Amino acid sequence: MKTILSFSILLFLLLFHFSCEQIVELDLDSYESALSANIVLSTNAQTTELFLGRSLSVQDETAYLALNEAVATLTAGNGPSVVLDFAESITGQLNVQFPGGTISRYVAEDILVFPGDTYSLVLSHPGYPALSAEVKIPDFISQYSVALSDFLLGEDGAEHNALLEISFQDDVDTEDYYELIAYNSGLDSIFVSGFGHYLYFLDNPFPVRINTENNLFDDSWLSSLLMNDKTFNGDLFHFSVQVQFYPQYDGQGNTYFTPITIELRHISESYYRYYRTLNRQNQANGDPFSEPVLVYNSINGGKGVMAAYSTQFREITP
Amino acid sequence: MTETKNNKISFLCWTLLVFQLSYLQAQKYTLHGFIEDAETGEKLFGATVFDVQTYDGTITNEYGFYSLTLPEGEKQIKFSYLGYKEIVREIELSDNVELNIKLTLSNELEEVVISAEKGEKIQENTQMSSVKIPISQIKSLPTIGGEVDILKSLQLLPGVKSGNEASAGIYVRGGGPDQNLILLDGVPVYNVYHLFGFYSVFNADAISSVELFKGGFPARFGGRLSSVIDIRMKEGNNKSFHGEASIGLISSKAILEGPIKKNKGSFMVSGRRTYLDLILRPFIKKSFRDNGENGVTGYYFFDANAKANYKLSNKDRIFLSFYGGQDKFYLRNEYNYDGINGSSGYSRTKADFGWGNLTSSLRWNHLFSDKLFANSSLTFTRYGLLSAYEGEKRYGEQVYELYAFKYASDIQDLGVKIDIDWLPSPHHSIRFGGNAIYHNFQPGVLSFKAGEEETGGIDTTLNQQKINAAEMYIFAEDDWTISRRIKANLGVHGSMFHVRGKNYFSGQPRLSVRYLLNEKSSLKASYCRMRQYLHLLANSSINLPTDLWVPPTDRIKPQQSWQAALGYARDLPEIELSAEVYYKEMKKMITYKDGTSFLLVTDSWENKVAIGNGQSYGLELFAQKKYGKTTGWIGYTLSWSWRKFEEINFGQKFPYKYDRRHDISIVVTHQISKRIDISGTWVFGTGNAITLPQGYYNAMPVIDDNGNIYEAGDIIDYGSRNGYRMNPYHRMDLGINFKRQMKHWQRVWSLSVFNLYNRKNPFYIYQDYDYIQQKNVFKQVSLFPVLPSFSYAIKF
Repeated sequence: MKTILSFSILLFLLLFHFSCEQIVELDLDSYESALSANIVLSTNAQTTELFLGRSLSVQDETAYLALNEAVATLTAGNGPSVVLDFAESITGQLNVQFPGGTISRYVAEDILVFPGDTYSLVLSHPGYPALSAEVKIPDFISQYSVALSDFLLGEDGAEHNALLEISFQDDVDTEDYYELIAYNSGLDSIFVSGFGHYLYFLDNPFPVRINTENNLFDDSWLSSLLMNDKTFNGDLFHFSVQVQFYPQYDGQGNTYFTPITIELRHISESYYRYYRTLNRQNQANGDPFSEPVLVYNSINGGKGVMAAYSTQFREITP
Repeated sequence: MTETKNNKISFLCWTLLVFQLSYLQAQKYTLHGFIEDAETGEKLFGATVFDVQTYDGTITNEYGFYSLTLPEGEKQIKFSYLGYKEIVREIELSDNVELNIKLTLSNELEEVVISAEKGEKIQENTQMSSVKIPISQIKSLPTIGGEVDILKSLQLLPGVKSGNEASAGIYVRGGGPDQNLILLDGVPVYNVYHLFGFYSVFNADAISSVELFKGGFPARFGGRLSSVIDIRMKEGNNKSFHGEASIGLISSKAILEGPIKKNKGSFMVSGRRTYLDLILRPFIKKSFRDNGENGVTGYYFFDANAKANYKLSNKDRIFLSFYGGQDKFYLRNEYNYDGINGSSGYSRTKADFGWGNLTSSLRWNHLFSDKLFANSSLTFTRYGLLSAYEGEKRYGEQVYELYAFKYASDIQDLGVKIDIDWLPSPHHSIRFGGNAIYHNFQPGVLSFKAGEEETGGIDTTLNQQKINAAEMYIFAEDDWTISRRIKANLGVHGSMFHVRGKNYFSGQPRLSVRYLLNEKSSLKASYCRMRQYLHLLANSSINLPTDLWVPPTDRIKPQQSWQAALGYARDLPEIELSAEVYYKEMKKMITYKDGTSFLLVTDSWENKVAIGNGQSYGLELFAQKKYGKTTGWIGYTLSWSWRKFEEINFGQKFPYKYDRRHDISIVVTHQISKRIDISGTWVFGTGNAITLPQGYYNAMPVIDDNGNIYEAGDIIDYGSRNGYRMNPYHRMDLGINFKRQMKHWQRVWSLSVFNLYNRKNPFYIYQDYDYIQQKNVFKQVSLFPVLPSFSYAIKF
């Protein structure tokens, strides 16, 4: 009995000596690199651009290489095909954890994009499986109108708030998605001089957020708002948001307001899902309490997105 | 005699015979009473009572009551219970008889004669998918930190999985931790974990029995989809005073029990508290003082159980039970510092993070007749969490920084219920009753103050809402012996939930059938539908106390499930075998959406969750030896568990985090001598499924109005949700107890080794950058290496 007890205590002390936390480095399964292609077709764009890169394993410290030998073909319905030309390689900022590396830009000029048409992309590059994707251009939005009301004027030089009211007709037969962007400048500034600043949407004191009563805005991407039509499918939809803008000065101490441009895009489902998940992943990064976010991918045989939108502008002066 | 006269006589004889037989058939009497432990007076739940000749029998209910109706005549009635010496009584049944039985614990070292009559045999029981582990066996298992844990012992059973390393979380047949109805003396306990899930809140010294139902749920249970864990507290020794005190690496505990009035009433009081914070307190204070500060920090948990019962009459007994427990982190710190121009500064910080449960019940047992027994209860349960942080900084008399933050959540239930046992014949054991519960929810209130004295600062409260709800259920079930071979438990559970002006109704059929193939084996089948009105928002794989219980809403409907199981049971000499296959579907489950954090309290919880379904199926094999010097079991589970949410993994089915393809557990306890017993466990499980970054690729660049192109960063490629398997988990634990009987007390030294061969089991995996290798690496963190522990106890 005493021998057993003594031996047990000795073993106990020996085992205690070895107690400590340990970390083991893991070897993950090999990750197969694939091409990543991003292309967004717009009824408003004069230049169609495709950005080509490749995916890398997180344990791969190799920087991106330029992929300038791709053959990218864009076809509209049964129409003629257009081959996008390699334009340039864009090198981003190197980062030792996620090498920004290089992405390649392919362009085609003067492709006319029409609502209702379906465009397909086929891309091949030596050393990688071919990619393919397709997207249908959403129709133009009907009965789209805007108005500004409820001005809350700040003191001279300060920001001003107003209620931006927007209405448009949603198609009952389809699942539709929209993106709303507003600029603190008129149409001529945006399209002629290329100068424009985004308006910020407000819901004092926090930005406009989704809520159970009005499941309108799913997310905001940069300064735009993404929406789906679940709560207003088939309706003449009317909603309003707070916007904030600053007055301009004429050099003689007088203030004036430049026109505000509101762009309403009818976006494809791929556009909506891609930017919504991308935004969520960016927001969740670094938060140990949130689940990882998978970003939407619509490219067959690779990564990335082929998306589209039709767009309409309205200009209004406060 | 003429033929006509003979016919008349024959007819008369036959008539008399039939009448006699009918009369004899109708002469049945009821034997009823209570079965208790001879030494302590504790009522024995599940003790077997049967007629040795006809095998008609019954078992005692939770209060030790039995009732058996038999034809009149000479009877040999056997009373038995696992671990106790059986008693056979010969009685002349010519009237209704009350017979109370006291069973004596068997000597553990006596040669045990294995006979077919020992307890209710596995093949005869209608109930499938359930296991009852004797508390003595739980207490003999190896421990971590010297703490016996009831929920961890359940994790050693097939179909029951633990969460992470050393977690006391329970995942039953692919269900989540919120889908377990955990009852303490019939009262639900909402958060059953101390120390973030490492230990359960149940002090094994205060517990008398634990029963787990994984499927085939009797109609009396409802409200959760995946399991019922029915835990009963000790009643206390109603004959003499006894106590026990022990000290281990983690906590110290004590229990005292004794009679209020001998053979009439008894009480039991127990308590447990960690003590490291008290021991380390002076050292921590000194450490603060060495830095010129006045402060202290620490963590502790405690829990207390109390129960009293009193026999008012031969027909009435009342019980009062109570449980309270709390976990708390705390920090207090203040210091002075030299400011500019000779001014002095002062800083103060106070932080508290605590959570706890409180349950109580008042019960009344009443014997209406020898066939009708009723239990009425008034119950209360509460779970609350509070996190508070405040700080202050001054320069001289001026406050220049002042802030306070508080987060609180709470759920309270007040309930009344009645359960009635009616045993009209040996072939029918009927239970029926109902329950009404008033719920009060406060799912997460955040308030904060911040600012300087001059500006007034911010003072706001967010998400402040109290939700009241009412829940009711009624049930009826019949354990029906149709024939010698066929026995069935048929039941229905009907429930209603009312919240925010909306009503939810549910009717849930329950069916279990047993077909006796022969005296040693049987086939069993069960089907049940379950509904769960409450949801648990659980954000991480660690059982955080911040997990919230929330009611259904217009958007978030009650969860539903159905489960079917088919099993085979066999009674071998010394060993019981069972094999079961099951299939379960769960609907309207909730989980946090991708990218959502529970820290985001500015948004309603409804907007943070996705709704989806689950599916699980598998095979469970179980062999158990209950008697003799060596006891234990081997369990193996082969299972699949899936989830499908439209907003997660792009609507594709993905494996549940705790989808473990293979799960093995081996438990052995052996009595070496009267004074020494040893135990060992070995467990193996396929690794958990987690989501790891696998690669990255460029996002769509941002193009501004001028046509300038900016990189939008990289997208992390995770592959699919839960697409990576952690390394398999396996470990061996050993324990040894040394007992020594002194004159008036017994002392027990318990030594345990957790993870004997120092297996580096995965706890979590994180990504890091190795500057020497200049590449990203993934590191697996293991929590517990080989971990010896001890405890010392005295019993009197």
